[in-house]
Amino acid sequence: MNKPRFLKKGDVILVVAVAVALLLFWGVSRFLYPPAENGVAEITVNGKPHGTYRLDKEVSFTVQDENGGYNRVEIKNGEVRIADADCPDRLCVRQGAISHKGETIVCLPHGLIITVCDGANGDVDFITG
Amino acid sequence: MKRIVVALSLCFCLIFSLLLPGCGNTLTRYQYTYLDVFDTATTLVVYAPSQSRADEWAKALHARLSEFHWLYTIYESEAGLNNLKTVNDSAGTPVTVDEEIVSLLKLGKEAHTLTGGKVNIAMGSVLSLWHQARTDGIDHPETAALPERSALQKAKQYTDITTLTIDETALTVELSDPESKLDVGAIAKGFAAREVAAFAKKLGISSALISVGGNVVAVGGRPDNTPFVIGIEDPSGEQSYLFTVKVRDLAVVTSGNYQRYYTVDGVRYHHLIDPDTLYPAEYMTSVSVIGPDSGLADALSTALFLLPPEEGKALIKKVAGYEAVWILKDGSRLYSDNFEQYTTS
Repeated sequence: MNKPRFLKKGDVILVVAVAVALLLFWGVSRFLYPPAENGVAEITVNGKPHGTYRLDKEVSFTVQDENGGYNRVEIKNGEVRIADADCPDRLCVRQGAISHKGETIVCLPHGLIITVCDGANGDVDFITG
Repeated sequence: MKRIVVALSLCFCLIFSLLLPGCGNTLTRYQYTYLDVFDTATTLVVYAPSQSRADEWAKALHARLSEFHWLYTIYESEAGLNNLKTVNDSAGTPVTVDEEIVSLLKLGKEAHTLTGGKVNIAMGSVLSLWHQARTDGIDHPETAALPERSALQKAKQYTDITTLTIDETALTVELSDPESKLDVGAIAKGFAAREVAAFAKKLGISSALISVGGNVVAVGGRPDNTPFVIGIEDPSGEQSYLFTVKVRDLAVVTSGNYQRYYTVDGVRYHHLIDPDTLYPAEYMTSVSVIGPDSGLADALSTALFLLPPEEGKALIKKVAGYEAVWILKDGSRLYSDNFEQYTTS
């Protein structure tokens, strides 16, 4: 008499079949819905969410603050920048484009913060200067 | 029946191993930015087991930072509560203050000695003239002007740090000269960041980055036990960062001519004022200091910015455990003797 086996041949086939089916499903879904390589830009004004924008879509728009000030945001080539602003110091414009996860552009006078979320982090945890 | 159960459990294991790649790592990165403390942008990066825990931690850290902001401000006051504005406004009388003020002012005195007076928290009289000129110049660029040279010279007479008396036991501080004013801008952000990092550890946070203005403190390292990788910003804005440093439980503090400035007749004037010349120092674009205490690192980065790089190198050599990198105006870099241990590229 055979030793009592934990799994019979049929069970093994079943498990392998399910595994293959899952792998196929995962592969197809990755192909149909690839993860965002470029991440998204999250914009808040005075602590309130303004919107979330994909960095792989070219777009340019203006964000108004409560006092009529503006920042023109430009998304291009997977990067986001403030192309123009009427804040007094324009440090936000000077900073240039950001694209790495966790990077921020801050416009202190207008209370505007752009943060890159998701996407590749470029192996850097934080940028300072 | 038993076999079916076993087979199904195996399937579940497979499903989960596919759905949760790398599920051994249970800490997730959460990031928060605040604009209401120290007149600059503050960013907290915390690794937490859940969003709610991260929110709770960030709230606690931000509250602590707000306390420091209020204690150290020389622009805001509240009746019945003593902060540095109270000390400035009450010259000639001892003011009872919190321990956090005593510790900060002590650091200020030590930094003054260590840096040969380049860091001087008693030069508020000079800095307030620059602050006013800069604020006016930013708001009304067409009429932007430098402070009057004669006014700066006059203010310089009231920058003697010995007019500041600290009584550690009684927790009182006093400015003996009514014309003297404190301005702790060169050390306060770094000191507060250090204290908030210690508070973070007390809360049980094992992995976090606390950035107040140009002061970054690493709490621990990454959750996977490797050091944090910090990029040093490209002052020209062309690249997001120039190079990276690897740190764990260390502070990285940068002083640069691009962080705060205004323009007069096409010339940029930044906020780092040399106590000897009374004008912005022009030796370099920026300097970053790495070391265990972000308060001292903050003071050192200010001092190094105000010194020619060769003199700065001699200074940093005297302070064990601290290293520096200078970014010169032609884009070239200078390193202190043992900086290499932190560079990754």
